Amino acid sequence: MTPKSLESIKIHQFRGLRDLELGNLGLINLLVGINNSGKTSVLEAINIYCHPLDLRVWLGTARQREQEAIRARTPAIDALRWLFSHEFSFDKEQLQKGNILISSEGSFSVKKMEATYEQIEGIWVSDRRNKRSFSGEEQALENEEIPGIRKGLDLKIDLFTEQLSLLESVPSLTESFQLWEDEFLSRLAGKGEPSLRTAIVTPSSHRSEIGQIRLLSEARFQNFKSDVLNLLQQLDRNISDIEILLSPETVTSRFNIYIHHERLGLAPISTFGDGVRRLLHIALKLASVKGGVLLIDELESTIHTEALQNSFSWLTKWCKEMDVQLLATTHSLEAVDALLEVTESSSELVLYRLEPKEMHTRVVRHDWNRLKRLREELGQEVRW
Amino acid sequence: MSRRCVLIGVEGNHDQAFLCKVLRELLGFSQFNDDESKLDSLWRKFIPVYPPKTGRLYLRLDMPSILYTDTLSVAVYVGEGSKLIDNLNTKLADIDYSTDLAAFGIVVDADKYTPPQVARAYHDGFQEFFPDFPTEVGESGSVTGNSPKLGLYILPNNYDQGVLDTLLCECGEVAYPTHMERAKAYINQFSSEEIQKIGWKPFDREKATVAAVASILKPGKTNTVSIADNKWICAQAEQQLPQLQNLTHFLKKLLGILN
Repeated sequence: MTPKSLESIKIHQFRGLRDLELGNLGLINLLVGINNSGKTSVLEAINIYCHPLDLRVWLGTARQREQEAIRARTPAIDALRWLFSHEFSFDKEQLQKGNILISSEGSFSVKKMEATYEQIEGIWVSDRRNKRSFSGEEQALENEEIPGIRKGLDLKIDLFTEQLSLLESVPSLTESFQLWEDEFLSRLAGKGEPSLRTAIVTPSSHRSEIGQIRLLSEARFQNFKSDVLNLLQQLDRNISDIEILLSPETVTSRFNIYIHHERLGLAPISTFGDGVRRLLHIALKLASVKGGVLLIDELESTIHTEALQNSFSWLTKWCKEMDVQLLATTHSLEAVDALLEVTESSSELVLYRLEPKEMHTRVVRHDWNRLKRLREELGQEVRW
Repeated sequence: MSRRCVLIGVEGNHDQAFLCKVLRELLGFSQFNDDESKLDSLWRKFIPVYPPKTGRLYLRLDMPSILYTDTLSVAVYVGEGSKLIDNLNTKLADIDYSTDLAAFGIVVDADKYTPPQVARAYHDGFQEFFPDFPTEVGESGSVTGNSPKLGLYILPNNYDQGVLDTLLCECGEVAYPTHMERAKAYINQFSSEEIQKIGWKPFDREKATVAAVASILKPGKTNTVSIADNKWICAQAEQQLPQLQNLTHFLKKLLGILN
């Protein structure tokens, strides 16, 4: 049997998570637990771990939870800081340093990532401030550069890969970055490699069309377009095709995704309900991470109960077909039961329940066999 | 104040009714009949949440009986006969058994196998979670381990083969001697040919005797109702029957209430 990209993952330190281990990962991996147990943080940790030197992924992940609050976003530097674990202390010094430590087993070349940051301050000359005029005694300074203090981060990332297993304490690769507030951090791209393909689907990411057209137009989508149509028809039988078209009314050259609908005619995707849009979004994301990992937050979100089983059957089939490992959070027992119905072996479905304890997060693992007995024969609640 | 939780597994509904009656009548426990929100959080997980009914329209899932004192909360779980070990192992895998449970016990009968064979089967069956589960039983069963305590009691007396009804017949001789006499006389009217034709298994005579008395005490009701409501288990029976004293001694030891 070919090894999975991630056979297991241990999140030693990330956000509020401590020593959380997901052992013997399967094809479909469900994360359950009470609110604030760290389910979404696990997805975020994995996303960063799979692109350990790509700062766009770091920043995108740090701001994943603020997708719909662009105006009120946490400053980038602060958002990054909150990815790290901090020792609890009333000492302010302690909060100026943080750690991330994640390790894994599997075919992914990275075996351990250790990241640390230190908050720094630097002297900075602001353009805006330079132009500001002063009155009275300060007039003399009008055309002089007035330095200010700005905050930043010294970020150091150590990677341990399989190439260097003899000296476990020496990283295979170390990268350092200096990040400053008010800089366009997205310019600091970091490095794309090493990486494992991942995509995150949040409860609301289907509402953003960024990237969807590119995904749809990629050749690999053509291979399973008819199956995607079958998936969408689970929610609306009148959907007959998906196309990328230029709207006849538009004056720009902006393309859009259109759906052929037996009753509505050709209608833009944005006019359809969340269920159709999210399933299409999941399908497109799945196709984009062939051989990698798909991360879905709130798997059941927007999908009607009656459509869960068929949708999950589709998802399982294509995860197998495209060799994609799925990690998904859920609060829904119906989603758990529906997945049990459409999977059939201990490695196809694994449920992990996160139970936050004083010093660590306890993980209860149930493979398909045990989960099936718990749910179908004993009627046991497994979400908490 | 949170109570210490104890999980006791039994094979059938009669065993469950019997054990609950012992706990209530002889050890001062009360049956939990309150609102779900007041249930100890560990047992809330044991409330059945039905899976989809696909092909199993008549499936019925049981809730354990919950009994409590000021300091203890006991769940008596029925594990569907031969599935008891598998079902309990599955449930143990879903709880933090090493910290959540103060004790874990099994009360079963020895209908098909001798008590030593039964003890070995349960010891082997719980290896994954409780390697120290008792391997043998004395006259008061066996309690080992510390946290959680692990206990095994094999009916009727940890020595002879038999069933719950073997012990209940002895309790009936104390509580309802006339009823028992008449029930046995009635059953004795059936010839061995007739009994063979009906197809009695070992210990069915005792079961029929208890059922006959129960149907007089509680017409139209099940044995479980009679065990719960009538006086099969009472202080007088405990005084006179060493087997019942042994069982209460076992439970006190398992529950940590032995003086």
